[in-house]
Amino acid sequence: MDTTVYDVAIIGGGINGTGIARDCSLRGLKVALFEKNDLSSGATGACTGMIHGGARYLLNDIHTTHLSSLDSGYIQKIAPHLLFRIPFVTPVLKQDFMPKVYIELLETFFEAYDKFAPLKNSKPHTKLTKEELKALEPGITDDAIGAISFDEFGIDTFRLCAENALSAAEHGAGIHNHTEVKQLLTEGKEVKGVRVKDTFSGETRDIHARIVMNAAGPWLPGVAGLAGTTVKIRPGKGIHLILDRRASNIGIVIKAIDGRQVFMMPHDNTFIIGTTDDDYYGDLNNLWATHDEIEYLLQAAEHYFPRIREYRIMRVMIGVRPTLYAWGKNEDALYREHRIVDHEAEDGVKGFLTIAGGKLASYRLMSEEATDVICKKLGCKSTCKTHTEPLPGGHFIPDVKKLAKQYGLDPYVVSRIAYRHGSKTEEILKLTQDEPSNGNIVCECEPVIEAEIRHAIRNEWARTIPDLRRRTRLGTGSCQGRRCTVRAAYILGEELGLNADGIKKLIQGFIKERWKGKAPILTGKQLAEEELNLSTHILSDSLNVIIEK
Amino acid sequence: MDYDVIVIGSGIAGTLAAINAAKTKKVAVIRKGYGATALSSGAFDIASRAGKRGRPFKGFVNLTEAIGNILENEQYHPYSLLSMTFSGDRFNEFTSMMKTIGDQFFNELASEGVRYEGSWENNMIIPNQHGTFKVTSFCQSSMTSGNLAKLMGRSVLFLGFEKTAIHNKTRAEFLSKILSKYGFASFKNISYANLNLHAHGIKCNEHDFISLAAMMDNPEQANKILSIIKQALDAMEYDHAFLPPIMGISNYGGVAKMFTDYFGERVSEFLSPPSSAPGLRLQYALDKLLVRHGINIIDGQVSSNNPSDTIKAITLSRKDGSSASLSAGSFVLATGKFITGGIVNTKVWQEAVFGLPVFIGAQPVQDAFPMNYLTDDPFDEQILFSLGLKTDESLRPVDADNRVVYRNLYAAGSVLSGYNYIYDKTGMGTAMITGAKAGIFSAG
Repeated sequence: MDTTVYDVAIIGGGINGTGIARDCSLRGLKVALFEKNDLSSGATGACTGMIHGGARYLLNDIHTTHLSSLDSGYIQKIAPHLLFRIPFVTPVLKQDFMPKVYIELLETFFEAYDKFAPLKNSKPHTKLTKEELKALEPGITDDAIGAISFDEFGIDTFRLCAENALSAAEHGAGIHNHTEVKQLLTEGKEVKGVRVKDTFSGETRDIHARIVMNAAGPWLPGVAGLAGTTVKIRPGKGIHLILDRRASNIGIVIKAIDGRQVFMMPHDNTFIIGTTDDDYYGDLNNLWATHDEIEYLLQAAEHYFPRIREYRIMRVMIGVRPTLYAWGKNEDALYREHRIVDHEAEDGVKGFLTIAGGKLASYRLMSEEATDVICKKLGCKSTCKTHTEPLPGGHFIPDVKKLAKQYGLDPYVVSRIAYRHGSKTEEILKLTQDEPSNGNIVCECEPVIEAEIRHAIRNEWARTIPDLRRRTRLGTGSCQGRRCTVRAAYILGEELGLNADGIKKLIQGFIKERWKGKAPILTGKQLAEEELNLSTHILSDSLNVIIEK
Repeated sequence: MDYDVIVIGSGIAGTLAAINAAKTKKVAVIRKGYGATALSSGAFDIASRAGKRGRPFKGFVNLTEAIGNILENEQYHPYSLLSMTFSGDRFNEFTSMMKTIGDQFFNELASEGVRYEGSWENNMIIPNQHGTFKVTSFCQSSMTSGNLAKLMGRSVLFLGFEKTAIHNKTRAEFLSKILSKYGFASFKNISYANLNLHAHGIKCNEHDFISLAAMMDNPEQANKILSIIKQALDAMEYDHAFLPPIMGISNYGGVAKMFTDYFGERVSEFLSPPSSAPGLRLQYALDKLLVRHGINIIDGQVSSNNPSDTIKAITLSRKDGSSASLSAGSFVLATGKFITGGIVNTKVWQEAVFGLPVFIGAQPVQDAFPMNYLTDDPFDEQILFSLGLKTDESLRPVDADNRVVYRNLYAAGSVLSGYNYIYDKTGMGTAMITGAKAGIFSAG
């Protein structure tokens, strides 16, 4: 029995949960984090993946823009390997209301935003003529009369989340992945800990903590209910379409049929279009995209980028935002504000806090604020270090060419590891010296080598193939797991000592997870890939016979 | 008229159509490239529907029974459609027609160096690279001695290569466990080994077996690699050893013989998922067959805009950008399904060259949301992949009112609806028989 009394037990391994775990650990608190599925498997993993400067708040809430831009600069410093610059354009079309006036207004707006550019290492805006815009991105519609450019930063959210968890663990936190909180331990009106269940072994145990932090994202109302309290959110479903390649190297800010702002942008080696925003009351654990949502985005994209349907849409990514509750507003008009609920003050329940709402770009700031509240309650005087202390891979950018030569690996393979792991790259490459087969490529699309997979299993809490997908981008390329699913299952099986049934479950789990994102968009060129995929998994591997319903 | 018959597509269906029409007519094959046949595992499926999820497949090893089930229960299957023309015992007449066409075709392939073996009574169970197995009817001769149904109780060895597929204990045990679950006695012993070709000075950085197989086409390299394999296997205990499909591509016949000369039936190739060397061997043999039958192979893409009920000519767009109009008396469409772009979906589902309507069973399909034809479980049978053309008994595509669209257009292979080769495992059989019949029909 674990008799330790933790300072903080955190429920939820999204960016808020891991961000708070890191901050608390850096301040010397004893932390345990519990995630029922996998780190960044909920709203965090389904977001647009931008560390933006908060341009949309400029008109009503300039303070938020200032803080967002400042934090974008901090995140670039603590995770330099994970960020990539995305140059954006906001095109003005001749169909827009008074386009010539509109483009002037836009320019004025971005002139104001330029004031924050130095904070986040961005370039100031430029006004592009129609010709300049077409030269920059020939795919944009001829209806464009010009555009305003600005830039922001994209990030691998899965890695950001994993690195926050890793940092927390380095400072003593216990990260318990695939461990669900089934119950809160209470004494009268005080929460004293959590009863958790390992979702693989079924083993249940009690963890005692002075503070329990509910950071369960869209699942947070359920967790709040365990303490007999109520926190309302306005769950907003959002989908993104993902193309198999970069349709453009610049991001394009577009407007959908209802006037909502949507982004089309390069992300890593893909291109994403999103998002939608609709109230959602369905099953949070089983999300599917609808025809309407997909068509809404495609129509919007087609309006600005006429040939978009000829591109290969590889999959659709679906998530639910834990937006703060508000009545009488459109989904899109809801602020991405956050709130830290002190249940002692609000409901008379001691030792229990909830964090709701927010956005990825300000995760660090929110975590700091939440940790301040925790520290105040626990009487801890340490101050926040998360804006200056680099994340585990953020200490330096490794020399890819040199490492590739040294370890006899393809420089492109090493560059992808360096992107994901930064200063920890060599720790992974060293595994290829222990065992030469660790240098074998498992996922050919990305590519991902065996060493990185074993590293993720041994050091980053990966226990399923979707976990490996989030840590390494395995299976996210154009073949969507056709070639790597079974290979990855054997490696996991070997590392975790699984029997044939365990391996079957791994394969089934990943193919099912990929299918949710593929099936609703099975049109155009992706159909060819899927026929090949079924030819591999069903026709050739007989998985439909081997895997029971 | 430029040709009597123009066949579009050069996979199994297109080739069978062309060589059958060419017996009496002047024929050309137009293709934009290689398609699903070249990408295939090279295994020749006639029929072996696996049955329900998790259901033991042992009974379905019986090929005769599998064909009988189709004729009895699947009215839209091309097998059933073609058997309609027989007045007597449909089953016997259909299977004897299939055997005649098949045996003749396998003879032709053998004369091009790719020998297929199997039986018309029972399917085989062949292991594959992923540590599972496939039930199939005919295989290239370097694979058939590896029929797992005959190796139970024996000691089997899986040989791989470092840098390509690595065999390990987990993988070997997995195959053993799943097979025993499906009613087979276990192997006496299952072991594995991986060769390091680099250590022997052989450079192979590829992650699939195709480059290794291509390397084996060179007799000098083949000898070198064979001697490394000999050395390794001679030092190990086994009744049967499996190798990846690396026994050459264009010189398959020669390389395979080198192995049988030394190992006899103790060594065979396992299957690899697409794309694989055996698929390419098959495609190269088809190309040689076309040439031998005096058929013109034209590279390019076909389009058509025909308002009348007879197609007089099609437009050929060559890779160099030039185009030409080619006329013929009749046409065979053997363009495949999605892999090759025979069936497309941009805003509506349709056939790509002539814009023909497509069907699932008897139902015309136009609207675009794929989830209407898919279930939420990827291991279920997905009817979207049975989408294709509906035809009359002469394999002429029809519209939603069952009217023949073009009097002189025939269709064959996976561009057809009515079957789902991924699940019923009739892909090669259907391509072969509809191809041969479309060729005969088109020649009048």
